Amino acid sequence: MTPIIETEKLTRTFGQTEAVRELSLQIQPGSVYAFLGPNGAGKTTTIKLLLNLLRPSSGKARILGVDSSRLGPKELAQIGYVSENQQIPEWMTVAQMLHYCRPMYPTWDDAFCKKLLKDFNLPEDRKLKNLSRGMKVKACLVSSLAYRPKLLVLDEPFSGLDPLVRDEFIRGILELSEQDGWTIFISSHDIDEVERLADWVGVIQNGHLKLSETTEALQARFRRMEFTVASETTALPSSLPPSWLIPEIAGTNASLVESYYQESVTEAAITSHFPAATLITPQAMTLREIFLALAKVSSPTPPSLP
Amino acid sequence: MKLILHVFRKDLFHTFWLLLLWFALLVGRFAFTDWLFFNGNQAGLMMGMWLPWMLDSLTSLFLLVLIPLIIQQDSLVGTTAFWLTRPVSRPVLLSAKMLYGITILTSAVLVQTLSMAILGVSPHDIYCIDLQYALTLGGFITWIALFAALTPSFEKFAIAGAVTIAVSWGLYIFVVFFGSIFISSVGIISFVHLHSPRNPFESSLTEANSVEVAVAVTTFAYGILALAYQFLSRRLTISIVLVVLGLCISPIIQGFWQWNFFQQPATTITTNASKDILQHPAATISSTDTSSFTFSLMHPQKKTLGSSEYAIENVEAGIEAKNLLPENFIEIDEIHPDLITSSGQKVNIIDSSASLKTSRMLDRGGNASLDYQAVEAALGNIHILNAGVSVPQKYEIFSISTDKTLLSTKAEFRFSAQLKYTIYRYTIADKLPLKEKTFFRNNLLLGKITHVQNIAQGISVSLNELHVKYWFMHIPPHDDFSLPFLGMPFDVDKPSVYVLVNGKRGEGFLPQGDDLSRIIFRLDKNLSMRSTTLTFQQEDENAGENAATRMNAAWFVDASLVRLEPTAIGEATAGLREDHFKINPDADNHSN
Repeated sequence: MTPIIETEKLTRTFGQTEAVRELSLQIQPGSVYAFLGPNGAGKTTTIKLLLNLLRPSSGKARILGVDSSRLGPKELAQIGYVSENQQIPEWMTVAQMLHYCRPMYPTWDDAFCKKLLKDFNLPEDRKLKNLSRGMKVKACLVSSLAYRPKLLVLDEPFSGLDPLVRDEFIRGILELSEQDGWTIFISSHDIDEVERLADWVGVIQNGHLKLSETTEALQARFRRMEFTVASETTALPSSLPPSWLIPEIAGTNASLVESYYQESVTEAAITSHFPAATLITPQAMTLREIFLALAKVSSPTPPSLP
Repeated sequence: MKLILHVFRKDLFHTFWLLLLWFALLVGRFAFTDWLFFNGNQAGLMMGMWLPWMLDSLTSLFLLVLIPLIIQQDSLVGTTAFWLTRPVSRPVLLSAKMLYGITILTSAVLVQTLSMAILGVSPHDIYCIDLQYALTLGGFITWIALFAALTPSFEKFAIAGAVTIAVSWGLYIFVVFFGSIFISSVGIISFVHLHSPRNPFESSLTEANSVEVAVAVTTFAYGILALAYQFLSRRLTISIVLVVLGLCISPIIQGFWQWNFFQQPATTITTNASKDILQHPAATISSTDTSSFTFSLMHPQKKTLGSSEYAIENVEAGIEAKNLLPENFIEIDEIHPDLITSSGQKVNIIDSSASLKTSRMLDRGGNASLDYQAVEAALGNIHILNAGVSVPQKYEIFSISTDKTLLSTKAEFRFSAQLKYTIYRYTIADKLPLKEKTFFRNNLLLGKITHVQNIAQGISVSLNELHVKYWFMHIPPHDDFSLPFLGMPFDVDKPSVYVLVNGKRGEGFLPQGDDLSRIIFRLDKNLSMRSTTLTFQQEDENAGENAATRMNAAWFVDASLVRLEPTAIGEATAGLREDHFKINPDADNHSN
């Protein structure tokens, strides 16, 4: 199956700063891809490169099978895009904006549009400039969903939204993706927002793509390992397996994050490095915990021990 | 196409009220001009001076807001514009914005057209004025759009505009006050002089020349190309470079433009000078070339200048040219006289009329020297009502000597002189119909005679002008130094003659004195006063009672103002010789 998004060593520099460095990923049709990373990691730049809003310094990107630099009206008519930074014609009412967008899309579905308006409880006759931030995002989402795009790109769509709106939003997207099998590419710095949505996860830090895999596989290979050491004076060995992240010892309690968990192998490795280790307990991790663990590892100065 | 119209309708809807207000100002500006044109009087003078200017400025200011609003609504700078992620192609967006610009342009031109049509301006004039208006306004709109297309917000647009103006002025001041030292030190001046011949079309009187049109056309076209480039490529840096280069276009073109496509083809007068030269039986003329000319020597007389022992003797005589064709007249450029006694001794002459243009010494009342026959002939045998008495063309010559002994004798002398002369003919340079209630055009102005009435000494003519804002396409082909009705009657090199001509009656009237000044200065310069009066008076006693009664409002109805220019049709030299030249002793007098 042809990936709906495919990049190959995609790089973008601003002066001396490399915002995105040799990013290579593939996103299959029908997946919900969570593109995660802290603020300034390069998420928005990547999306702008994908949508031809920025030209890459090197590398390539293909969207819907087309080189991103050649994206035209035909492809854009199949892509929905909602961003916290996007300008909207604020002088228009919601209905006017939808009326303005409608002729651009051959697949515009009026009935669906009305349903979305109703579901999102949007006041059609209200000018966009008079709407709250959450309502504006909803209006943009309606204008990006009503033509049933093949690819929906959401760039930090939840920023500034209150939890109730956020929840409505996520529920709506989930329903739609399940119904029509859309591909959704959603970037966020907060993993809680997308945990329920994503079946694929990519993590970017300092312009580098740290990982890109299914949520299932990711959660299967990450475990938080907790165990007890013999005495409070036990120190961390100087050499530990590279798959162990943020090892900690507090008193006689020790923990680490195993990024390539295999029950027997991991327990044997712990016993090997901590001969007196007992009560070895693997704990499944949430995406948020995995993301934080990765973020800590990549920090220039790791957080100090509690 | 549907999408272009869709985006265009969106823009129109967005700016509807601003557009309406701009349109109202535009209509107001022209309506006010119309009102002034029909009702202009001294009371409305002050208002007429500032209100159209104010309305003009306001409409321009509105465009400075409207155009950026339209362009920046779908911004071409940055990555956050709404349209960038919508299926609106760049050519579609460009076309929609251009359609909006064309709508503005067309509206403005239509309003002006309607206004002028109501005023009764001829279709040809409307066509010319509309062309120049569209060109200038189009250029203005395009460059506003270009600046807006390179800036993400109105604030930055305003800053970019202000910086551009400041830098332009700074450069101008630098070049004017300090530049010459700097530029000459690096050898730029010699380069510019080498590659930029002095523009022969510059004129402080008007900008109406081919350079101005070339600048307007190029600026407009270049602006459109640069705008299209920015829309289609969104390459900001290159577009900014293009704009900076474009801003240099105007001075570059003005410095290097060499083609005056408004210039009339040179008129070649093929008249053979020899045809006009007739032998005069009274004098012996020797010719030095095939177009030899015959003069008669008249009225030699002697003057003693001063009464002391240092007094010097002056011999004066006249040279008369007779039997010229009526349409021709002559100017003698140089005379070198000689006096030789009967014994063959040459009188020592210390000064003579050798290098003077003798026509300037004509006894024609001290004003412009006119040969009425030549004027009448040039106008197609129009009878000049107030023509003076036509006298044969007569030229004074003199020779001054300190040789009292020789000059005091009553013996005959042999006189000879070498002449260099030019034959001229008047040609019609401009013709301005002055019919009441119809338009006349004089260079920058479109005027109209609104009222003509008889007064005690002649007629009173009221006129109003329609000040058209854009003018450079409005002029008939000409070069700058023969602008309509800018020829001065007292111009030493090319004296113009103004004649009021009634073609139907076959009559002409030569305005003189104050009337002449009024015609020259009112029609040409002071028409912007919008309302003035011309009073044509008959001052020439030779015109007689009959002519005075005929010069009235009824006569003026079919009058045109015609400017005649002398045109040289040939140059020649001749030798003049009189073997029995006897000074009239009775004419001797003394002067100090």
